[in-house]
Amino acid sequence: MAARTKALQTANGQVDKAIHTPRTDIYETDEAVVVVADLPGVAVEDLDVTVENDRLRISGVLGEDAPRSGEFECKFALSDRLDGEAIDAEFRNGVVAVTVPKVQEARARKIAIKS
Amino acid sequence: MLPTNYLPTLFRSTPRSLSTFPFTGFGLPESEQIPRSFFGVGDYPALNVRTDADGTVVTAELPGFGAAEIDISVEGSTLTISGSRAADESREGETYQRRERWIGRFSRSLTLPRDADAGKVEAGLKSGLLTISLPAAEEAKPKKIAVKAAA
Repeated sequence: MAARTKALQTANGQVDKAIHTPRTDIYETDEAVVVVADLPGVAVEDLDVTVENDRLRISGVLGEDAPRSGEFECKFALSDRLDGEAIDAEFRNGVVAVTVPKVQEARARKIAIKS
Repeated sequence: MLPTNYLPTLFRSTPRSLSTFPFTGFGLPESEQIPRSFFGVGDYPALNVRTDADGTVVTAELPGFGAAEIDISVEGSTLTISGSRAADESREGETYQRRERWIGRFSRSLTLPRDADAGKVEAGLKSGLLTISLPAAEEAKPKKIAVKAAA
């Protein structure tokens, strides 16, 4: 059931803290790739969507009374067919939807048939 | 920091399968594997249950659900949380590369450590986190027994 949990271990084997991986859906439209991530109980100010060096990172901090509390994080590499500059993110009901547009050449285009 | 090629890449030129957990649908292509439990009963959603002498507080992770899509029922000492969410119809024409979020019906029951006063149960939903407070019924609260000193 639980989301995959990455425990960070310090040098003496002690588990430091767990970073949870949120459940995500990824789907593709003609114009963009959309990542939808479950981040239940995250307040908007604790949610971070960042792009750095073609790497998309979605992270947040869950409150203490959530069944899984602590840090949530998921990261993706963006291929060069995606436009990292024009990313849009929307958060509602504990779900964040991040839309990454495809570059012009990668979008589906209808080819006119000459007859 | 992991090098970029260890991360799942969005929209690669050659698609590569990413594992999803948990999933059903062995033998189906990656995009057809959807998390769901058999018979709609299982361990979704994740719950936290805290009890003290005054009652129980249950929190459940239900991201993406509206209040109208969730049913809560209390019967004596059993709490049942159920509901359903349809797959997004507008996505029908689009391709999924990964599908981990819950789709369909869910139902989860638990036995409360203390019988609840059904008239005083309250539930709130915020940012996908459902909080249910179940004050204990009077007869279910612990009673202090006076200790009489023997003569």
